[in-house]
Amino acid sequence: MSRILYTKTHEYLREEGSAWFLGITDHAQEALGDITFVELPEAGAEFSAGDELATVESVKAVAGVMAPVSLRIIEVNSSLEDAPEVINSDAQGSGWMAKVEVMDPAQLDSLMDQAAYDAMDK
Amino acid sequence: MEHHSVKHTALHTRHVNLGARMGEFAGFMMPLWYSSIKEEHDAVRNGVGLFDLSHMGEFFINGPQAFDLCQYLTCNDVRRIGDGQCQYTLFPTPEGGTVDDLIVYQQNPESYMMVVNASNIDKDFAWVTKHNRFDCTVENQSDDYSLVAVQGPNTDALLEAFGFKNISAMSQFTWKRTKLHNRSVILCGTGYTGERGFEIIVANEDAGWLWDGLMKVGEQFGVKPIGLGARDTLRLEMAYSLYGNELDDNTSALEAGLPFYVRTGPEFIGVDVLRRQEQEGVTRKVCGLVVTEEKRSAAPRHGAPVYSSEGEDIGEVTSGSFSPSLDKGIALASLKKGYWEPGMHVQIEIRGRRMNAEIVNLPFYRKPKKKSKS
Repeated sequence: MSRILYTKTHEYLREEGSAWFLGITDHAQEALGDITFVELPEAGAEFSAGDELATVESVKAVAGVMAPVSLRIIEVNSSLEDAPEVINSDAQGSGWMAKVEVMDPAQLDSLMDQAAYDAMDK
Repeated sequence: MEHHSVKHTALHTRHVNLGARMGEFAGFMMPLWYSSIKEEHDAVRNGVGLFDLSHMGEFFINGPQAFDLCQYLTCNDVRRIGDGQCQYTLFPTPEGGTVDDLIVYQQNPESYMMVVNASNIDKDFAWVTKHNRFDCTVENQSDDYSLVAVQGPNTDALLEAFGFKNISAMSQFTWKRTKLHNRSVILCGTGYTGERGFEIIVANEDAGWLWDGLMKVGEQFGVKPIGLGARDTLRLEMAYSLYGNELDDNTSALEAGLPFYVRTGPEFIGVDVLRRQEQEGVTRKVCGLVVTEEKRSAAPRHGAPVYSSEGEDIGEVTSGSFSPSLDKGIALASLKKGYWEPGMHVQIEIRGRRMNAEIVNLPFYRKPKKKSKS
């Protein structure tokens, strides 16, 4: 099983080969409700840990997506621009938002593993 | 007595058991959605939905001059309704603002009910009491009554299956006190969705009976419980005003784009300002906007600035959302004079970016015409 790490603000990073896939957690999509719009960053853009790199809108709410660690965008999931509802149906799978390169792997230590995220008071 | 704890409606446990996402609204813990705002929205447009609106306020006005008090407090003309009818109206202030919007129900000229917004119950009751120069009895029974709305094209079938007689013969904006299964019910042909529907008012102790019965009988009609999220998208598609957004203490009914509900024949509180606004025109008015970006875009939200095609600041969004029926962003916006014509192009600033939008005729949503039988 691939490694998956979480933030307190409900983003995840899923490891696949040398890259990481970033998105919002299943809990986050459920809290937001029907997602109607996603604003994604540009490939090549770099963000520091905590920077807002994308926006997710549901019918009633707007939420920023933060960079869990300092990272560079390799590729974005542009299919979400026409089908943002995929985040509702498969947030942690085909609903990924960006494929990223982690700049400083040491920063991954600050993130939660599955057990810690499950135990977190949401 | 003033208290700040969050109130629960009589149906609170049922919402929690249905898995609703709950949130605070107007001092009440209310269901925001159960399954999904879009699904609930579609259920009301195409089937039937049940809303717990027990947070709404109910006032009862009685006395030989009850008609005079209602006429004095509101800007619509109460003479236009008869016994068993009701009308949408507003409480204007003498300065040209609005205390609240509401529905006035006439039982007879000596007896009325008012249904007011939950967020304004205390303010409204103080207002009505303060201006009661006609010696009426004014009772605020908001805490004693629950309100369940049934809305959608399958409403009549559901209510008749539940036991109400001749529902399909009842017109919108009529109401009656009746009994069902030996319980007292106030049955009102009103709603906030643009669909055929009723709002049913019962004593709190009968709320569970009503809700459970409608949910059970409604299974065959695909009934769904509907949260406040879909209530807002449904009302916005119809361009119905929401107090606190389109209307407030500084905005008149005319500035909110509601001239149909302003009848300045009779005298009432605030009539002078409204007569002047009718003669001279208003300088800002609530209009409808549809986002016209080719790609999917962010939805306009309350407070977003609006600019003319020349870049002039012309007003701001009062209510905005993604519209499930139209599959695009829609907004009501208070715009300055000169920018009210349908077809005009404007821009809405959303998170620092200006989106193209167009002024449109209201409502945003019109029911598709029924196919004629071939």
